Amino acid sequence: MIDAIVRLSVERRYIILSLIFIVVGLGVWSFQRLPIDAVPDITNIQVQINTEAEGYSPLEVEQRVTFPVETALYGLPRLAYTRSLSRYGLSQITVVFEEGTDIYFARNLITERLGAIKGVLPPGLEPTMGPISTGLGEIFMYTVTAEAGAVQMNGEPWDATALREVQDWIIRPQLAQVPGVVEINTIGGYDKQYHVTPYPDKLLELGISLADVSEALRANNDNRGAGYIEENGQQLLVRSPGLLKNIAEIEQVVIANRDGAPVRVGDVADVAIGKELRTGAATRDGEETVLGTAMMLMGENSQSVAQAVGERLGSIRPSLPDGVNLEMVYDRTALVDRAIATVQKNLLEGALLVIVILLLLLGNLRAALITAAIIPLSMLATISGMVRTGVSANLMSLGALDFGLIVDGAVIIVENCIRRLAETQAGNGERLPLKERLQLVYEATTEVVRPALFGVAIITVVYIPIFSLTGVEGKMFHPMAATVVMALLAAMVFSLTLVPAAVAIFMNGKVEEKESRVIRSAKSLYQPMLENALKFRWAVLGCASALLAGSLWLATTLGTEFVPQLAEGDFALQALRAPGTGLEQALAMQEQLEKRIKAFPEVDKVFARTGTAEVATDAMPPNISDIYVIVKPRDQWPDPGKSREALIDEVQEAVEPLPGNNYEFTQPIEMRFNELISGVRADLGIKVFGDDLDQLLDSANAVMGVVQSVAGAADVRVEQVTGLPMLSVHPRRMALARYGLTIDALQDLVAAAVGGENAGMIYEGDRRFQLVVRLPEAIRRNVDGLGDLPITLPDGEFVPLSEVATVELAPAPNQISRENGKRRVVVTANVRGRDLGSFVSEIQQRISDEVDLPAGYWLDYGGTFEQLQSATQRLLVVVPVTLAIIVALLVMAFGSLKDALIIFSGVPLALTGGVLMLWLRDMPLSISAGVGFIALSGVAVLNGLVMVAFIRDLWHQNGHLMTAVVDGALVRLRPVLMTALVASLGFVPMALNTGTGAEVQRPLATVVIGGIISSTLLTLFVLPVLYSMLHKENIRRVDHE
Amino acid sequence: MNQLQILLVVAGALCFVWLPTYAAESSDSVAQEHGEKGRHHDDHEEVEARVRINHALAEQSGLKVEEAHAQVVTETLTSYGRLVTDPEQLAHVTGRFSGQVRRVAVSLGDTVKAGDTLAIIESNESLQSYTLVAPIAGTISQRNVNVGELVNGQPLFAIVNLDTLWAELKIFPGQRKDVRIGQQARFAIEDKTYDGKIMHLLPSQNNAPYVIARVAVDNRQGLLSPGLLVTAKIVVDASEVPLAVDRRAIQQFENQAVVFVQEGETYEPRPLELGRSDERIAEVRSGLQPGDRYVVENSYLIKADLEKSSASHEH
Repeated sequence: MIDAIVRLSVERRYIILSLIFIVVGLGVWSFQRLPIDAVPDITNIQVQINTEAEGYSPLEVEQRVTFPVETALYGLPRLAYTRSLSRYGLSQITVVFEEGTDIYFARNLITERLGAIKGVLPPGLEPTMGPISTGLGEIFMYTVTAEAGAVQMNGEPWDATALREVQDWIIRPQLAQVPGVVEINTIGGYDKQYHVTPYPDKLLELGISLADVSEALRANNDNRGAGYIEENGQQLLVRSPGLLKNIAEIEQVVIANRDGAPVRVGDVADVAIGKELRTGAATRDGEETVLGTAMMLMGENSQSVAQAVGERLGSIRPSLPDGVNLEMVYDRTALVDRAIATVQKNLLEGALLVIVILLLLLGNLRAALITAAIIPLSMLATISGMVRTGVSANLMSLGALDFGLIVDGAVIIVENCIRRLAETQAGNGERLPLKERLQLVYEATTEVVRPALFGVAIITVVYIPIFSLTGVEGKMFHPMAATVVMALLAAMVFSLTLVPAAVAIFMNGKVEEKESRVIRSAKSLYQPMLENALKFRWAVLGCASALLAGSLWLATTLGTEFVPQLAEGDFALQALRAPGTGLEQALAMQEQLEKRIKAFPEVDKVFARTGTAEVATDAMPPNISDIYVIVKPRDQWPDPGKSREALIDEVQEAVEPLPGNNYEFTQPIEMRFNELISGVRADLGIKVFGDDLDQLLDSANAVMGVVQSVAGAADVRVEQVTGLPMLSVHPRRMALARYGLTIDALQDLVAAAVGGENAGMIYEGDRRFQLVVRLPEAIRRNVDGLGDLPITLPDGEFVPLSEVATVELAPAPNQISRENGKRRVVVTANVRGRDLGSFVSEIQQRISDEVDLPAGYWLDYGGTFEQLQSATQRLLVVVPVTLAIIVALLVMAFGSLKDALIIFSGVPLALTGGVLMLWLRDMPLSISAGVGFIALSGVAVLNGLVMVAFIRDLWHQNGHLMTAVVDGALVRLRPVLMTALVASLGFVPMALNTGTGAEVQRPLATVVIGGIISSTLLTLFVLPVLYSMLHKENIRRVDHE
Repeated sequence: MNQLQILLVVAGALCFVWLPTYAAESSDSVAQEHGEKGRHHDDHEEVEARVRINHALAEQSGLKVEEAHAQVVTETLTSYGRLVTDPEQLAHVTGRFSGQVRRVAVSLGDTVKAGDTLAIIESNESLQSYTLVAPIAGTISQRNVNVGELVNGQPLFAIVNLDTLWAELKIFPGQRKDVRIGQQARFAIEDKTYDGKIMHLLPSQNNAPYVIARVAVDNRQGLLSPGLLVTAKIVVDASEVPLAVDRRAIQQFENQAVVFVQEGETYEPRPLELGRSDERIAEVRSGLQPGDRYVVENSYLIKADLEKSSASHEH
């Protein structure tokens, strides 16, 4: 079959060549639709259901909202699991679907279920789904600030409320229209509200209740259409406008009539623009601000969307009121550009190096160009494949591409063609006729095509274990493996078709085998060394084994790192404060913190979100702040050589002494991923499920006790569920009855007095603002005075609140977490100095013996150990299977197990170099490095394959083993050196690069370069030695015969 | 064949090298990462709760420290009621003998002194005119008579004296035990404060479940009127306590009320047993010594610092 393809390619060479245009066209077209981002998206398929329940405490949120919604989701197709959070004023349910579920399908299912339970939820509460976005969705952030001294139209200085109004009604509607933007999320400032704040004593004096005030406002704030009248053939529309328009009008609303005198709102209450009870705030450089975040639709191209948002921002600026500034604070484009620049630089430099090497070693420009042509072509084909399979272009997916590896197959074929052409021409002394030339190309190609194909097939096969990774690692490395495999396959197809066709067409001139000086001197050096090696073969083998053993030992001393961290340039930190910290307190602490960070000359901007934004994409309580630190470009640093780590360390040192803050340092994208994926991040998580919170906590504490006593346990913790101080107003039923009050009336009063009651809307054109009735701030905030609040009785008399209710301050649950529809408390632990498996099984045993769980309570074990275990188990199966496949391929190629194993010996020999190189560069073992080892084994096998195939052919031709080994090795020196050189030099830019994202690629490149050097050296010496030793028996046999 | 076997084993072993390290490495890195966090945690468990903040930072953070000392705690109680006229200062004036009114000397709203002529009436029996005089000083609040009308025992004038008004404060059962005759009460009415004393405690009419505390309110300025609703703070207890702290200093820490005492640059929580308190200060029964310096302003920062290790961001 292969022969037929090659023959076809040579004979129909022009047609084949014209296929290039198709490939190029398709590639260019695909390139325009290729999603580009900095890192692969590791978010799972999830839908967040947020329900805002203003004023509801965690317990009520759970009971009234979370539970019914969660129950409605039971039995959704392709549902993986649900988890939920019930917190003050917010219920958030995260529904995770199995991988590969269509997000729109999932959302449709949820919409349908939510529609069915509308009636079950308390009136006025509306569950909404979070934006269709992923962890990479927060692509653009901006702040709305006012210039110093700028004033509003009414002469007042710009405050947070006014800025928020600009954001909500001028900026946001325009930005939301940018294609690819799914949501503009706002945090900071205050939603403008009209506040009517009645004084309790004035109400009492006139015998008016709070409810009367809101009732009056509701009944006096409406427009009504009244149909039409026809008059003299003309149609007249009738309407009665009655909407309240401004503060003066609100003040004039009549509440009641006392002795003929109207009591107006203004008589008993103040009316003013007030502040909402907000759940979150934003700060920038230590001052309050309004922060907008553009969320990108899932699957869009973050680079182009962020750019479009930035452009739109520019066109919005002229429409802003004077003195208001709109500033970009975070733009993903910058990071993507940097990351892509890194990849581009690596690939371009790699490609150039490869071309130069080819030219040097082949000594023929045309041949070098033909080989190099494979690079852009396979790149374009890969891009088409990436678009088809939905792989985005990013550091990881493009990071492992090495053009040296890609051209390997082509190099071998072209090299052989040139050699044969040159030899034949030298024999004839003149140019070959077309027919002969074609035949020659055909023969030369088929001669080496089989080992070349097998080599590429083997390199492809070694990537199989990567595909078996699941979870986050899988999401990070699948794209990488997929791209490499696609590139290799494309290159394989091209070397079968295009390369022979091109050689047949373009190598028509006189082909001189200008064995370049490099190769000649290499050969003259190599021959005596090889002969010596064959003489002292035991010494060679001993050295190789010693090297192996040494590097094995070295490997155990290397540091380890799980997944490499992409340095995003900018960094982020989370400030964690004591649970129960109020928003204003948190902001005061935040101000101090940001001023400290901002004082660093390297820092450009600091901004933060505290608490939950309008759309609760991240349900943070007010005691937590997400702080983004945007650093200046390096050339503006006082010391441009300072490493990013050093800067972060300094920042950490500076903020550590600030009282009341705990920090977690992270990076913007990483932080977002963590928020979305979440789950248990410790080695072992023991989840206690059940009903009663106190019992859950007791059981969790019992579990913690057991875990702590197990050897190797560290950082054992019970999830924080309580500790939110709560002021409870417990109604006294008998007392209420005595005064003719119901509990409802009492609760309404407390809710309206403290939280406020919505009494309608005030419209200003398109803008609409809530009209809220609540007590004046001074009275509302006075905890001691709460009991003194008078409650108006039905007969106009009154009674103080303390008479009918007891006010109590006690800690209460600050949040209730549920998973799969049941309350849960998690106990987490890490393991030190002990293997995870035995640790977990001992704990399981001990807990089942020692902890007595009541009926209806159960445990579930999870955590990283689960993933590790399953990954290890899978790899334990997949890796040997992969190795077996490689051996099988080799056996197929040679029909000899012995030869297959000889070739296989190149793999461990290659690993030694990789390990040594890592050690030399002081790098840890990581999955990145692991992928490097995988690529390396492929190259090593390819080297051996070419060499052994040739030696064997020679031996079969002339029957003398030793000469065959030496001659074969000498003849194959050039292709071996070439493949090795192009493969390793192709990776050199990657190994040396220090740009954004280089930390992901550096270990990989380092391993490959080191490994290829060692494997080449060893292939050149150890392989012939092994071959000659293992085949000696055969020689004797042959001699006997 | 021996060599072949060795080769096989070595090759196989090597290929697996990265596999176990992969598994081990991941658990290691996780452990390291959490080790960081864990260390903070452990610190707090070993060392007694205590925070160190240097003076510069304390000042920057707005921490203000005061000495604990003896103070007067004024316990008050809020009560609402209406102003009524003093029954002793209201006079309904009637003609002693029936007859015809000859002259009326005052009109509605006039202020009169005791003994001022109100009207002259000609008696039907003696046909003598007699003078009707004001029994008390005050304001004419009612005038039910005009010249020429016949007087027949009906009230002709009402004179009311508003120089003193009475606040009738409703004392609900929950407040009853603290309220006694003689206690001071302070009213804030439209930006002005008035002081008075509880003079009487009366049961309410029509069996309502409260008692009425009556407080005389001086109204010589005439700004108050009967029927006005007033909010009163009744001083139920005012006594000097040997030790009191500012209430802003008090924080709940580990389910106890504490203040944070400064010693040099360290601050530590002192659980307190609190006694009486008013809006500003609270009595300390035990847990603190006079002269101890405790954080008054921004005391929450210290609490936050002590509790920060328990802060976490769960999802």
